Amino acid sequence: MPELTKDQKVALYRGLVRARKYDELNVRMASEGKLRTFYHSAQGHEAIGVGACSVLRKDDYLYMHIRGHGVPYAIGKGIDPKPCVAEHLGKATGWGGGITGVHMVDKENGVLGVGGTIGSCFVLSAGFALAAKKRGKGQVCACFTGDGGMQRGQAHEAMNLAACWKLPVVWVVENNLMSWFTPFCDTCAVKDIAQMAKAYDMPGVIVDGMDVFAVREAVEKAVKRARKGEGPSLIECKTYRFRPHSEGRPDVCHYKQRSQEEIDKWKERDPLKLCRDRLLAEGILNSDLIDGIERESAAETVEAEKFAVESPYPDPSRLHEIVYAP
Amino acid sequence: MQTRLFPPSSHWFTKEDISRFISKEGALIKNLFIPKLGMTMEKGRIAKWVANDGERVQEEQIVLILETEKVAHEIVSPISGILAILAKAGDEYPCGTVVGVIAETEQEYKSVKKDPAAFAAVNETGISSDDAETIEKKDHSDTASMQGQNGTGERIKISPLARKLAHMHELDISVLAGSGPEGRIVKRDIEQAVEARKQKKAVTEPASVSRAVSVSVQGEVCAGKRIRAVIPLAGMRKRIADNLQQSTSTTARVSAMAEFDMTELVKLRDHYVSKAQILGLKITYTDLFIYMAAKALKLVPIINSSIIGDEIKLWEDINIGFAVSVMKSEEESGLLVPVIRNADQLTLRQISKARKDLVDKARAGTISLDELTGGTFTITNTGTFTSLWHIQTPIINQPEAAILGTSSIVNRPVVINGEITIRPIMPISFAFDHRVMDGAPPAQFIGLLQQMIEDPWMILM
Amino acid sequence: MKILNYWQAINEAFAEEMDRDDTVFIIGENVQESPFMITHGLVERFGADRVMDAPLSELVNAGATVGAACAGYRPICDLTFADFIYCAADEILLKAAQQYFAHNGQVNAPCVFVGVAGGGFGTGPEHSHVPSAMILNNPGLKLVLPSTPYDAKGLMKAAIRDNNPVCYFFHKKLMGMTGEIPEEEYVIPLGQADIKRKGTDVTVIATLYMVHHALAAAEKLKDEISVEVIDPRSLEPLDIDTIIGSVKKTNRVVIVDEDTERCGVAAEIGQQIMEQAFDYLDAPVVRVCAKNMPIAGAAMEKYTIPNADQVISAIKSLVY
Repeated sequence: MPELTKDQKVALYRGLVRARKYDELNVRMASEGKLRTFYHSAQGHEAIGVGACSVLRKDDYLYMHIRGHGVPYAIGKGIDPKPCVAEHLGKATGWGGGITGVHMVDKENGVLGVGGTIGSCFVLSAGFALAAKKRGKGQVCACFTGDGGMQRGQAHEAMNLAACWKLPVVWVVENNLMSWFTPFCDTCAVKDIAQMAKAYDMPGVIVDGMDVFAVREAVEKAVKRARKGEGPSLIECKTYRFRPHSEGRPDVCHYKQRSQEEIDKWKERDPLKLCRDRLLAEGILNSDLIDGIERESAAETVEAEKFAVESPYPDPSRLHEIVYAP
Repeated sequence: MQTRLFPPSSHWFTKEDISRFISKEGALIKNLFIPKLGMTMEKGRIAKWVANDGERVQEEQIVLILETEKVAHEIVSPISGILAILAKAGDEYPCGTVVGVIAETEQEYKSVKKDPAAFAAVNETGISSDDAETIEKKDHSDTASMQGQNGTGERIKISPLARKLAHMHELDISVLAGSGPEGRIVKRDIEQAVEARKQKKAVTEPASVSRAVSVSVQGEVCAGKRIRAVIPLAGMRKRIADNLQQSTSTTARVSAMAEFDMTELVKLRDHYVSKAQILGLKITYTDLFIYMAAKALKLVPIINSSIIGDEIKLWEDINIGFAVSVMKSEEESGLLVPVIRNADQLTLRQISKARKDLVDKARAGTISLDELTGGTFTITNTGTFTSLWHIQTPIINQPEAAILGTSSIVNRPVVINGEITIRPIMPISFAFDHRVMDGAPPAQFIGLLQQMIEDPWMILM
Repeated sequence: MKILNYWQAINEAFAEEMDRDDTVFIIGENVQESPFMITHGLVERFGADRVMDAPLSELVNAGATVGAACAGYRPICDLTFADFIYCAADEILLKAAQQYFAHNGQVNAPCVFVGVAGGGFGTGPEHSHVPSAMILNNPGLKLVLPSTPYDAKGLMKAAIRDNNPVCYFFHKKLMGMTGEIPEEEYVIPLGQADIKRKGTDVTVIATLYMVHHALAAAEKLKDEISVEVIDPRSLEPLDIDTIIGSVKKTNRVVIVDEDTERCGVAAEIGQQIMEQAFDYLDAPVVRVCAKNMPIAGAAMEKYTIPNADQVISAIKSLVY
C-alpha cells in the first residue's frame, strides 16, 4: 500500500472536520424544528465515509448509508455536501430536488440514488455492480450500511449473487453496535459481521472504524480486488454513534438509557481526535492549520445553511412531471 | 222571474236572500259575518262595535272587535258604505252568522233596516273558507309535480342517460313510468315519450300514446293503496292539465252564477226540432247559446278580449268555442274545444251545422289545428252528463276573458207574482277574468242573455 | 405475414430488442431453458452474459434489475410467476416504482418485470394471480397485458424501449394461441386500446385472457345483442378515451378482469367511466372479476375465477 502524501492526510483530516461540522449543523437545525424530515447523526462514524470514499474514482458507484444523510460519503468522494442541507429543508436546490427531503442523488458522481428500506442497498448495489461488470470499464460500487442492514434477506441474496458472479462491489458495514434501540448482540447470530462473508466464500475484514487511515487502507484493498474482477468483499468497521439513532428519539438500549460511561469511553476515540493526534504527532498538522481548517469548515456550513434557507421550494407541478420518465 | 247574481264569496245564499242583494241599479251590499278564523273555531263573541249603526264606513275600516277563545280579532268593512248593525255586542254567535251589513246606498240601508231579521237569520250553510282551502290544496297537490319526486313523493329512479335526454326534450320525468329494473326510467322510455308527444302535437288523439306500463304495475301497492291502472300523464291529458292549471293560476277568475227560466226557450227549441226535416238539422240548446252569446258579446265587447302582455286586446272577431268531450276509455277522457269563427255573422242554422261538423270531426279524430284555435269566448255545457240541477265553476279557456257554463234544464218551483209554480230552470255560471272587467259587464251580459232567453223575440234584436 | 404462437411472439420480441440494443439483457431463474418458453433458445444466440440464469432470489434478481437499470442498462427480469411480484415487493413497488420520482427525475430505471399470470390450470392461490391492482396502486410502474400473439410481440418491444419500469404479465392459457405476425418490424405503443370486436349495444372491456371470454360471449349473443369488446392492452397508461367513446355509443358497460374484484381494475375503470360518462350510462357499470377470496386450485378453481357464462349473464342483465 503506497504511503499517503501529506496533502492526502491533511485532506482526510479536513474531511473529518467538515463532516462533523455539517453533522452539528443538521443536529442544530433538527432541534430547532427546521428540518423537513428526520436526521440520523453520523457523529462518531465520520472516519468510515471519509476514509472509504477517498479511494473511489469519480465514475465508481456509491451507495450511501443513512448516517449523516450522505455527508461523510460525499465529502470523501469529493462531492459538494451543500445540497444535502438544502434537501433537508425541502428546497429545490437539494440534491433530491426537495421532492422527499432526504434522498441523495448525483448521477455525474456515481450516486444513482438510495432506498428508504435498510438493506435494500445490497440488492441495488449488486445491480450497479452488475452494470459495472458488463460495461467492463473497471468501475466498482461501494455500498455502505449498518449492522441492521445485515439482518435483512436482501443482504444475503445480494452477497450470494455478487460472490457467485464476482460482481465488483465492496460492502462496508458500519457496526455501531445498535439498531434504533436494539443492540446488535441481541439480534445477530454471530459476534462479528465479517464472519458472514465466509458463508459466501468472500473476504471478510474487521476494521477499526474510528481510524480513518485504517478504513481507507482496508477499502482500498477491497476496491482493488473488485476492480481486478476478483469479486466482492465484506468490510466490518467497528464504530459507535455518539448521538441517538435519529434526532428526537430517546437514546436507549432496549428500553434503558444507553450507558453514558460507554459513550464517554468511545468518545475518547473520537475519529477527529484520533486523526488529529496522529497527524500532530507526525508533524503534519499544527495549531494554525487546525484552526484554519476549523474556521473554514465552520464558514462552509454557515454558507451551506444560508444557501439552503435562501433557496426556493420546488414547484408543485414538478411532481406531475416525475412520475414517469418520458 | 228575476235573475239572481251570486256575489263572489265563499258563502252559499238562498235564492230569497239574493234577491234582496241586487238593486235595480246593480248596487251591492256586503254582509258582515262571524268568520271561521281557525279549524276548530265554532263561534265568536262580538266584543264591541267600533263603528256606529248608520255610520258611513270606508273599505278596510275596523268596524267590529270579535272575541274567540284565544284572542280578539279586528273585523274590517269589506266595502265602503253605510253600516247596518244586526247583532248585539256581547252576544256570541256561530261562525257564519251575519251580524251586520254594509249598504252602498241609503236606499239599501233603509231596506235592510226595514227587515233586519231576514238578514240576521242567514247562517253559513256551505263551504267554509277553511274547507275551500283544503280543497284547493288537494287540487294543487294532484297537479303539482316536484323535481325528483312523483305524485306520491317517492324518489324517481332514472338512469343518468335517460335523465339527460329528458332534460333535453323538456319532458317532465315525474309523470313517466319506467320500464327498467325496479321501475327505472331508461333511455327507451324517454324515446317513446318523445315520439308520442310528437305524434299527438298536430292532431287530437295520438295514434299510440306512450303507455310504458309494465304488467306488474297493476295490483302493485303504491303509497298504501293498490293500483288499478296507470295512465301516463302525457299527450292530450297532459296538455289539458297544463292549460287548466295555467289558466287557474293566471286569471283572476270569478264565477258569477244565475238561473234562467227556460220556458220560452224550450218552446222555441222544440219548435225548431219539429222543423228538423225542413232545416235539415236538429237545433240544440248549445246552438242557441252560441247564437245568443255572439249577439250579447257584440254589445259587451270587453268580454270578447284577451290580456296580451300589458294590454287588453278587444277582438273584432267573435269566435265562439264550445267544449266537446272525447271519451277514450272508462278511465281516460279528453277534451277538445272546436271554434266557430265569426259566430256573430252566422245564422242559427249555419251555427248548428258548423257545430255538428266540428263535433263529428273531433270525435273521429280528424279535426284540424285551425279548427281548434282562435277562439275569443267559450261555452261549456255540462247538461249532457246529468239531468240533476247543478252548477259548475268553469275554468276560463285562456287567453280568453270569460267562459259560459250551461247546465241541465230542471223543473224547479219558483215564485211568480207571489205564487209558487213549476218552471224549467237552467242554472248557468259565468266565469270571468276580473283583471279584464269588473262586475258590471258580466251582469250586463247575463242580463242580455236573460232577456233573450225569457223573451226569444228579443233575439231578433 | 407469418404465424407464430403467443410465446414465440414474445420470444421474437426479446430477440429483436436484444439484437437492436446491447444494453438489453435478461436475468431470472431458469431463463436459459425457460419453463414458460418465452426466453427459450435466446442464450444460444446472445450468450450467458445476456441471458443470465440467476439464483432463487427474487430480492436480488429484481433489486439488481433496478440497480442495473439505474446504471445504464435495460434489464428484463423474469420472475417466472407474476405472483412473485409479492416476493420482491420492496424492489418493484417501492424501489422501481419510486426511483425516478424520489430522485427528482435525475435517474430513471428502464426495466421490464415479466411473469406468467392467471388461472385456468388449477395452479392455486400463489401461482394464479394477475396482480394488476398492486401495480396500478403504485404509480411509477407501467402495466401491460397482451391477449394475442400480435399484441404480445408489439407490446413487449414497447415495454423494453420504455424508459420506465414496466410490468408485463402474459397468460398461461394463451401460450399455444396462434396468430398472424407481420414480417416487418412493428411496435405497439403503450396506452393504445384495441377494439377487438365492434358492436352497438353493450361495451365489454376485458383484459388478458378475459378478452377471449368476452369475444366468446359476444359471438354467442350475436343474434340478440351487438357487443363491442375493447381490450385496453395496457392499464398504465390506460386508453380511457377509446373506452369512453364506446360507452357514449352503447350506454352499457361490462368490465371483465381476472384480478380480484375488490379494489381491482374493474372498480378503477368503472369509476373513471362514471366520472367521465355519467350522463351516457343507461345502466350501472357491471363487473365480472375473480371472487373476493384466495384463488382456489384444482377442481375448485372455476368457482373463483371468471368464465364466459358469467360474462354472458352480465351482458344480458344490462339489456332490459
